[in-house]
Amino acid sequence: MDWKEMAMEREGLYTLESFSRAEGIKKDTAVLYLHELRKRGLVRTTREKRGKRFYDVTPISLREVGSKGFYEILNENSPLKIQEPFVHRVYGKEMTIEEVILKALKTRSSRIILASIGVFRKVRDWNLLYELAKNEGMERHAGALYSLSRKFFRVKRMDSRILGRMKEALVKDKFIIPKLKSDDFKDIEKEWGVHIPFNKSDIEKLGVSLKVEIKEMPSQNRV
Amino acid sequence: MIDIEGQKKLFAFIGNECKRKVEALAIGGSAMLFYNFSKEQTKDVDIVCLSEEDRKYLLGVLGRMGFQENIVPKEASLPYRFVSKDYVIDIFAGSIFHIKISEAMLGRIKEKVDFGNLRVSVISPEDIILTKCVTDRKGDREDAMGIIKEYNVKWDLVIQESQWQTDKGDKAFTVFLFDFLEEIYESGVQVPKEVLRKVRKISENEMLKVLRSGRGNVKVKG
Repeated sequence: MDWKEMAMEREGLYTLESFSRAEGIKKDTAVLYLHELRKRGLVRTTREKRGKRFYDVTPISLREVGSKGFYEILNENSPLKIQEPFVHRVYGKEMTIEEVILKALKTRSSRIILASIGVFRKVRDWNLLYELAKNEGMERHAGALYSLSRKFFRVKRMDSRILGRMKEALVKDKFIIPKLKSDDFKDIEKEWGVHIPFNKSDIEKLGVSLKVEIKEMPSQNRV
Repeated sequence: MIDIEGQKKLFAFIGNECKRKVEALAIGGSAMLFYNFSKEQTKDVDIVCLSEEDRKYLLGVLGRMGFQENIVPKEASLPYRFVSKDYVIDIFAGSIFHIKISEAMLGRIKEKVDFGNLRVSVISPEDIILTKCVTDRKGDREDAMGIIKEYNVKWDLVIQESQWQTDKGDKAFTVFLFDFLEEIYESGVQVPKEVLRKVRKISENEMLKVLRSGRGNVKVKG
């Protein structure tokens, strides 16, 4: 059987049922066909939220170069998933969680930065985060997101010396995302001297998808 | 000839020598190597820098790495060619002969790979066909035929891009594209007739515009 020709004919997204219908074969046979296609790199399997498999059949795919890139690591570690505009790979080294956070900050995209808040749970090397942030002049931005993340997730405590150095850093731009300020996190804004671009409701969206119990926030309006 | 492994090593070598971030697009055969097309080797590595400044910087890096400058172009759209014992690299900036790098083309990039400080972006198979049509060497036609045989080309993107190139870039682009696709069609490879008709229409309209504006040698009535 010419598997490449089949992939060209059937290019698109399928479930097992729709693939077996399209080919006019039994489900068991469809599993075997998809297995053969996957062996040849002609199908990629993804899972939707409830665990159902989706099969993306494509006659031509990219050869795997290097290790996981920004979007893949972000999506693996954050409850909020980002649509990848392109495949990002890193050759010759592994991208670290700390690099992902800094890269997210540099994008200045609200959705990507929101997704990165969940990634702070995985940070182990605070010194690396500090050094990377220092290179970009974003120590306070990273620190403010760390404080925000700690309000919602179980995040490892940052070494007090690093925390102190981050707070002492000069701030060039008070905005993490231009013109966006927070109504709900004034305490963090005051502590770090930068504006948080999110409100409580934004972060709750993140928490709901993670199914993490969100701690009650001290509201500014509560007496 | 260079394969994907050799190309990866070369990019990593260049990326490690770069002291600042440089972004370049892999085009032609180099881009094809990033996909699992049947073609597994290319004669030379073709890359396009997004600015002349980046190209000059890369030229300096390659010079320091011991590559010999083989061709110095007379026009900006032509490549600098650098050669070493094992590699031949053509470096363009912003445009490739008659085709400009458009925003839409950048939006269609399929993959970006960081090789140290060198970020290589891989253009889409449709754009590989478009960049192949302006060079018009026998090998390029064969590569384009390979892509059309092995991949469901999104022809509407090819038509949209050729219209953009005609409007904003080189007016002659669609003429090159039409000749290129027609030759491929005559070789027996499936190019939809509708696509050929649309591309011919764009090129004919452009030729008529040129003739009516008096820039051509032939005068048209009406």
